[in-house]
Amino acid sequence: MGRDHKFQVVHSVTLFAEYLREGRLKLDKSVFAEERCTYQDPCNVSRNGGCGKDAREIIGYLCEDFVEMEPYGDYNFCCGGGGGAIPMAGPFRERRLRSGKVKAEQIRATGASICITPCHNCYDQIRDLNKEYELGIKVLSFKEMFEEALIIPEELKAQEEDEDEE
Amino acid sequence: MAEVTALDPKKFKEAVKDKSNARLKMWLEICAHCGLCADTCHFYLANDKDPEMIPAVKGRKVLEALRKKDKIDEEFLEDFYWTIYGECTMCRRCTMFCPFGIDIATITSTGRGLCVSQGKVPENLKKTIASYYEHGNQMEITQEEWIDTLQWMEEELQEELPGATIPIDKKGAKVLYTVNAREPKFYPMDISQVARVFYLAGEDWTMSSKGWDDTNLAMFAGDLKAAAYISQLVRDAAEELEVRRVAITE
Amino acid sequence: MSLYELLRGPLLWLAFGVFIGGMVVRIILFFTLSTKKDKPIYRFFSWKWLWLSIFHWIVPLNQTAKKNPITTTVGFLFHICLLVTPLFLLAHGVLWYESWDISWWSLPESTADYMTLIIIGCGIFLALRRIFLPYVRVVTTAADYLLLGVTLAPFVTGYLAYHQYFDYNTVLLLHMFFGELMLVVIPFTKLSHFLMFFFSRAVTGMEFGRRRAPSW
Ligand code: SF4
Ligand code: SF4
Repeated sequence: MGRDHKFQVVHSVTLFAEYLREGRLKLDKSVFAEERCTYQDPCNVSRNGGCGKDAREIIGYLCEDFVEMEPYGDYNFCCGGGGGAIPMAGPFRERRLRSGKVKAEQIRATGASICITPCHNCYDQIRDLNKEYELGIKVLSFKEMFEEALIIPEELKAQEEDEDEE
Repeated sequence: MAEVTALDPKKFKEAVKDKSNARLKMWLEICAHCGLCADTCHFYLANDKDPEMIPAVKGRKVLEALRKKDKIDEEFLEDFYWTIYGECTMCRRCTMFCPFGIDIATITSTGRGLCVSQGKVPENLKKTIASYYEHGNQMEITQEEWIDTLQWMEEELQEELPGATIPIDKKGAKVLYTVNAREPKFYPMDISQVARVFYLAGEDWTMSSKGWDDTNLAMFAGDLKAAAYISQLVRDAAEELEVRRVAITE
Repeated sequence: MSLYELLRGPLLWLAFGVFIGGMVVRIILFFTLSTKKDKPIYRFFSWKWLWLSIFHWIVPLNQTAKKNPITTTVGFLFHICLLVTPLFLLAHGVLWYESWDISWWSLPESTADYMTLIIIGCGIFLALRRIFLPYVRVVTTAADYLLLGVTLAPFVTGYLAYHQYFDYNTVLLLHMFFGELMLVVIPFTKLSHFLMFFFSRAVTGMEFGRRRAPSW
């Protein structure tokens, strides 16, 4: 991403991947072991953000059964919710849902039960597609998955009253 | 709905002149009309291969608009509006497949800019732009509401992780975390979730009390002046807090 | 001055002049306008992405080639023959030698003949695509057919002249006329892509490159 200011702009996905790589975060892979996951490349994160690799690195720590969409990565299709399509709402909603058919079919073809996506536009769009095209999946962001899978060191956890005495 | 606004041919002509850059002119002229971009666009594929949906048609319409200048008419503009806002998400997939690398997303963005000159912008986008100007975010969230949300999320988080915090305006932090304003509005838990990640990773991070919305819908609306203003908000926050990195939400 | 002399002399000069001058002006205009209005090109300038972007399309190493092997093959054959045949045709070489005393390698005549047929065949394929594929038809304008005609005409007439079908002299004059016409229209039409291709690929390559994505 851009580097033309005094600060550097990074996507959370890149940060999360860094934390995992450096061992600052630990994930329990068994949490999602029963699920088949797929990943939606948001246009602004993969093709236009260069973070596709980072996302897959995170997935490597998170999912046992991961299936790519076809096509994937930089060549993945737009979910149909980009370019301001979600907030345009109103009469644009119907067009948006229709254009999401491609994404819905891609997801269905993976047989996944979870579709991960690190973008709010994709997230909202795919949730709508899930209903519209009856995909029967869960749509999750990385941080939502982390909420369940992060391993929390005992000493950081809130202590139960009676254990406090120890 | 798009309001019916009076045409302003003079402004349209000015916008045409303003937006005609070297790349755009080149692209619109050399497009070979080969149709190789057709089945790379999800609009075309999802609409039963309606040829009117292929990327090159969006280029053609923008070219027509540029040529019309002050001869712009209501009927053309109406059709143009629906195509340019409703049939391209500016995802740039087609560009990867075009032999010339013609960037339809940029062309669409220009087309939207032309619509802006006529005040023809989807109502909801207009509202968000006004909100950026007034509140610094797209969702009309006031600063108090924002801080309240952060504090509420911090409390939620502390029930589980007593040491975790959501630092606000911490000068010199390594990372300034920005969100999509839909999060505090519809998914506040997102914020505690990310705070949890930062806490466990031992990150030195902060959020800003102003300039915290990293979306820029003016860009998608085609309103470049507003877009520049909006991106300046986060930039100002980053510079004021002297952070090294600005992280964009998932 | 006979019509032949006219086409062989002043008009040929004129055609080359308009062609070269026109393209030079195109490039100057591109640079003057882009330095004012296309700042990203210069801000994110990168030789690496420029060459990578051009390279992957000047040889068929891209997704489109994979996805449309037939159209790609036809397209490549068409363009290669289109460039090579007129430059290395023996008959053209003789003309250069007569006028300027310069000469270079030339194609065997039968090869040039086949290549001309390939151009015409590919041209017909491209026209049929325009007529029968709805997604090509939708962006096709009269100018597209005209330009295809203008591009093919020198080759069709050249072929006829070589084989001396019809009246040789008339066909030859037509051949010269169409050849010059093609040169003249290049700078003003989409045919300018023969050069602008490199500019367009370069700017897109760099734009994708700065986002670490391939544009091929
Ligand atoms: S940029 Fe627009 S035209 Fe191109 S593939 Fe995406 S939606 Fe289609
Ligand atoms: S945009 Fe590119 S792929 Fe599409 S018709 Fe034009 S030249 Fe062909």
